[in-house]
Amino acid sequence: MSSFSVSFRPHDARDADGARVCVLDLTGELDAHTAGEFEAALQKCLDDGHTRLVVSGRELQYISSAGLGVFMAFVEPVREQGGDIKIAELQPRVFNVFDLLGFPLLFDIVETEEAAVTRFTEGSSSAA
Amino acid sequence: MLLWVAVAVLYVAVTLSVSGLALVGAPIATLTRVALNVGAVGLGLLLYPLLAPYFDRDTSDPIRALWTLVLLAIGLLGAFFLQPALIGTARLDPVAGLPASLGAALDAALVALLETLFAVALLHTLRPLVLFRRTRRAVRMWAAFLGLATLAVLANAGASPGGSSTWAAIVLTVLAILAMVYVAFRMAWIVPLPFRRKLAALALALALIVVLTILLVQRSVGMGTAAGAGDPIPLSALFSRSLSELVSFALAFGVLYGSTTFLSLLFHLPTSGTYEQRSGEIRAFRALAELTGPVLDRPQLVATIASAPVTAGIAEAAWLALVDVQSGSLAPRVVAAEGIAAERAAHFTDTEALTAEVATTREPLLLGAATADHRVRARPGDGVGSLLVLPLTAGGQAHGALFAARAVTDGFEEEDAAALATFAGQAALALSHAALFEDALEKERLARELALAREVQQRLLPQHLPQIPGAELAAAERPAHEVCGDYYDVVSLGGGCLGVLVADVAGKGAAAAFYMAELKGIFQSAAKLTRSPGAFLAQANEALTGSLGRHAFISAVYGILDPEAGLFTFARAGHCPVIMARAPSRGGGHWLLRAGGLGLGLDDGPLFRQTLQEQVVQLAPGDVFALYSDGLVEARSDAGEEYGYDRLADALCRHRDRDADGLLTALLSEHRGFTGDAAYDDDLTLVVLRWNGPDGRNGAPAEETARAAVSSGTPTGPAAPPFTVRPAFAEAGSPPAR
Repeated sequence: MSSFSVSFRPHDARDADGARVCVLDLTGELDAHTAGEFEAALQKCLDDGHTRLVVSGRELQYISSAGLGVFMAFVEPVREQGGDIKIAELQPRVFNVFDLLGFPLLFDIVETEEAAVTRFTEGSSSAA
Repeated sequence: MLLWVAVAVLYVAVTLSVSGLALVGAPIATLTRVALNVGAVGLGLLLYPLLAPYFDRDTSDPIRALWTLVLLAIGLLGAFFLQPALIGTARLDPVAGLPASLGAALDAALVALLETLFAVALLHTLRPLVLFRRTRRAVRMWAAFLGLATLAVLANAGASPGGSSTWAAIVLTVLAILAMVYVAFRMAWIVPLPFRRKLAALALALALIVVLTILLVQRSVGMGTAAGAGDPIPLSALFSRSLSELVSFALAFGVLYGSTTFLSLLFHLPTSGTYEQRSGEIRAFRALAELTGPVLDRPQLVATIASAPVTAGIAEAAWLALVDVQSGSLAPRVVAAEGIAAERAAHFTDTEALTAEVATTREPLLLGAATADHRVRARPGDGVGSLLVLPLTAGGQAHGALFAARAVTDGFEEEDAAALATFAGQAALALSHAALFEDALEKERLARELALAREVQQRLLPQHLPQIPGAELAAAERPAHEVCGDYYDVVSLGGGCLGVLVADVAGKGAAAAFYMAELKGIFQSAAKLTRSPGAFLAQANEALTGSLGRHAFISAVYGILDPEAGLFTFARAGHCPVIMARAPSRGGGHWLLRAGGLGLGLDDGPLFRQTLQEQVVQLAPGDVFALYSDGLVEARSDAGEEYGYDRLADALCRHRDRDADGLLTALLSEHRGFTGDAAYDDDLTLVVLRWNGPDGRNGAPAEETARAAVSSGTPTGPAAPPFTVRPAFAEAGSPPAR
């Protein structure tokens, strides 16, 4: 059984609208078995009104298409509320999966967490 | 009818004979006396079967039987009281051994008839009680009692009333009494009586003893007697000594049976509660046991559980509150009620709090004064005076609680709680089993559906790959689960062209199979309309975007082989790169062909067309291509290492010279050797394409095919990449019209 966990970490930074930036740390393998957990975490963010989200993949070992589906499912409602999902710190192999599908065209995928936070605070729009 | 006539004739004959002889007043011959007594006893023997039908009905109700008997005895006693007032004291002519007067004779005849009828009624009333749970021995002893008593009285048939008994009569009487004592101790009917009915039976038995004793006393010293030579004799003995003695046997039996019954009831009263609990349990368990057949029908199961406390007589109302996990709420809900409407039951108590308490303590909760409890909303008079809440737990899982109510306060005994607790345990187990069965049924249903989906899906895959001159194709697909998200298809496009599609639907299971079916429809209908892989994928994207869910997208790669032009042109919609290998003699090497493109369904705007590229490969004979799904490259060894693109590319190079089938087999067997026999995590699809060159034209020189180097793709071989990359849509700079 693959192991996966999401932890939630409010960041000090706020964007131009004064909304707090939140970081989601993904650990382990995000596949069909564990996608539900990530989905629940994102849903909770939405329910709590957190829409400025940075997903950090520093500890993410693997992502399957089911995991990518979760990003697709939530990016629209998050953006409708004025927020965005930015992806940072992906390991090369994981980035390759995002890249093959063309996710860099749809999401802000950046090298570091700080770069992602900066994109929020400096008000730069999403890539798409 | 004939028997009734016989009885009447016999009675009249004996009466007339006795009366006539009394009038004559002369001593009579012994033979005449015997004949008269035999006739009189025959009267009793005839009445016994004749009256039987009238007493067959109430065999199941001992209270009623005893009550009837007491009333009849009182009636007979009344007749005794009335008789002297009407007729005066009857006398025996001690010399003749006959009634002293005609009046005495007729009086005796009447009393004898009444006594005989009562005796027969008494025997018939007590017989079903004696023979309750009948055994062969009991039936025999009953017959022995009646037979011996009859023989005993007939042994005195020759003796005059008031005279001494014969030895034979005394011996037979002793034997008859022994049989009588035996049958008098058969009182099995007492045990199952509820406490209150035992009390009633006790009082009736006492009344029976009293009334029958008075009757016996009156027959020997009081109003039922006739004055004789010495002691008074029973009045009926003036009519027939034998018949009178037979009545005495019946009365004595009545007193004896009344006494044993009385004492036995007295001893059984204290244990009555235990028995009632046992019988309540037994009835409740029986109700459950009857469920073994339809136990799997949950509505019926819950209804039976709710009704059991009421049908067992322990509660006046009962209801069942269950936690229904499937409803997504952990709050228990009243699902069945008996003796009360479910809504009222739900309203009367704080179901949630009470269920939670017993689920924690796992002990029955007994509220003697229910309306005083803060968790009970019922008011006095609502029928919830006392409440018993029983936890339904089985295998550590709390299903809910069974509520039992009585209108009175303190309506439940400890035994009730114990009986119902045992029942609740069984009920919880039955609920568990029903739930397990439902789960199993659901799983089986799902498995059947998945198997069906798999079957449909298998038919969606091409059964035969089309053949074109100069090229070979081989394909394999292996699902991780019953239903797979991978799809491949090959179609002849006309003009010798061949379209090859490999796709992977994100997610698995039945939904993936549906999208796959949709893609198949799109592919089969739209592929033939264009020779541009990019145009087809753009069309597929537009068609799929509307129907794919938020989560879902499809990665696909579509290539068109044109043997005439010697070109393999493909476009990639987010799919794994196509791997190509070329013989060293033709400027060999291997490449990961990775034209740009978004996955299908990711973007419904112009972005898809704008970013989509087409890659054109100028073919050389011996070129091999691998089109596959990510399941192939992402598969891992036991050590957790990914198979990866490099291993696949390397294997493709090494087995390049095999024909398509051999190449496919070799690639899969190497792959399997790497991953081991572990179950597949992901679906796996591999299509290999081998270009042998068109007939007669054995390929252009490698130098010609290797043209411009392009940034896209990952050239890992020594030679320059033999392909070009171009935007799929020429107007990519500006949004194309849609």
